[in-house]
Amino acid sequence: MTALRMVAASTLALIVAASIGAGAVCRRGYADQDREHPNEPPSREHPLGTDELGRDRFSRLVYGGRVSLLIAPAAAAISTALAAAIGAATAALGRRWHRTVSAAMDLFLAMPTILILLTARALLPLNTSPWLSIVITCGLLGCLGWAQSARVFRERAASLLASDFMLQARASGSNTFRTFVAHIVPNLRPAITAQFWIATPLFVLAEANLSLLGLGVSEPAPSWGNMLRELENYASVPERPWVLAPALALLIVVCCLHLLLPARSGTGSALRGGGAVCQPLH
Amino acid sequence: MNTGRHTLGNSALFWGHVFRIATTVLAGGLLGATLVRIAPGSGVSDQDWDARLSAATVANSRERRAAEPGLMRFYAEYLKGMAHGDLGWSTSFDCPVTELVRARLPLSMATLARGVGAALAAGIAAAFLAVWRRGLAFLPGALAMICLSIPAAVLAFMMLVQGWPGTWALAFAVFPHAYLYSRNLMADAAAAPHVLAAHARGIRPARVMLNHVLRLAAPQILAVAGLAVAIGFPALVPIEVVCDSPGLLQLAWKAALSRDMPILVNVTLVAAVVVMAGNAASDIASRAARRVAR
Repeated sequence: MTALRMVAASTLALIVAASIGAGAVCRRGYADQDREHPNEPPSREHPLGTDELGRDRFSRLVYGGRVSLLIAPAAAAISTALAAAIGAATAALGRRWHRTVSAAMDLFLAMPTILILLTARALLPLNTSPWLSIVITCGLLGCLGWAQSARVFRERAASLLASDFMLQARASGSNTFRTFVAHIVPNLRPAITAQFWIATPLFVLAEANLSLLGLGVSEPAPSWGNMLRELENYASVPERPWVLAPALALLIVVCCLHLLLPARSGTGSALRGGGAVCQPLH
Repeated sequence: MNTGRHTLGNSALFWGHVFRIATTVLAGGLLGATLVRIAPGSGVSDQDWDARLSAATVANSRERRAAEPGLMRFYAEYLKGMAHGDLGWSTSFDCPVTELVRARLPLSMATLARGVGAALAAGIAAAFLAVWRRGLAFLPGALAMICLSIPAAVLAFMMLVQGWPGTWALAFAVFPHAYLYSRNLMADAAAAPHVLAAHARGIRPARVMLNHVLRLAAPQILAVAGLAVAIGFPALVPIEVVCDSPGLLQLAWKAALSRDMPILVNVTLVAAVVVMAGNAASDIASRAARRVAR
């Protein structure tokens, strides 16, 4: 592991640990209001000041990390699992299914994901409880982000199915279920892990964009995305630069995730002079 | 003979793309129409809870919604209307969706063209420099990583603070993709045996880059333009919302907030057509460039 990747891993571990132990790190709850001190600048009492409702911005940032860092990996896990299941099944179920599912994948890939997200989010109740909004955001991101990865898994599973050891397994009388469990899934595991890590930073940013647009995690539950809605009063940002703290947290976390990606599968190697790039969900 | 075959190839490629776009529009339209009709709460409007409206107005609104046609008839009406350029009626703006799309699409397309154009120019130039002089790779690499790690909406806020237009936010959002893809393509081309042989023969690096590396990578770099459109158009949603730019993607956001499904479905379809048309154009240009390079 290079020094840069070690720094990234340590920073990420620190942020995750702080978010998990938010109760111990913060003196105040994320929804506690100090009505007598709204829009306060940073002080010893409030390290990042207070928002317009007098809530401690630092507490919201730390608790918000818990939400943002929970949604992204959960959504990445859902979408990777869906993509692996669909991709592998498409490769195994024959040409007719292959064509049908490929057409569905093409349709999904042609439609910009954020617009599908907006449509799907608009179909669901907007006045939900904060925690239900977290579940909805996570579920939507997970269920709509599978198409790109499914192509990768389909190709990988197709090449595995055409390999000599699979021919031998079939000749030995291995049925389809056993073939999948014993041969396809273990061989797809490296691709599944890589796709999960590629998808995670994309979902961190997608959640932020969605919440910033008012269609993600709803108040009073904090997320880095909905905290960024304070930037709507952009003219005052130069005088109150601390409102950019969630953006800085996002920058650090996503940079760390990119740096931890395998050399040829992600953008982290941009600094090292290599690496591919994955398409964002915006 | 060859020319005839190439013309046929180009024509087949063009019509293949047209067929793909038409199929997507048809399938997407039917899917969207289904979503509109079967979604829970689709028959409910914000007007039902609007305290400013009288009971008679609310009842009238409910009656109008109840009189809307069934699913199969809705499909038929929808496709018939689409064929005539009628994309339905916006409930929140109370006007035809076609009118809204026609008024707002040019602004979004202009922003997209300027932003993606700037990102591609900067990305390809930076990639060229990074492959030519390895020592220069760190700066654009770091900028690309920073831009990749910031949500497009925050980029738009930063541009607003600086007093710059939203186009720049789009350019910064697309730049990392244009740079990284172009850089990888040029790096692969620079490792080709004939390019290494040219270096070994003592040909100046700048000449090798221009005559061999760029020429070899050009067709694939043209394909990056299509990808840049696919990345840039959706990125316009948060940018137009933050910059309060009255474009098509801001309309989609407003429609999502007011649950105006006819707008959302049609804007999604228009976006799909723009993205697929961008991909088709870059694919055709890329193949033409490959033939010229041969």
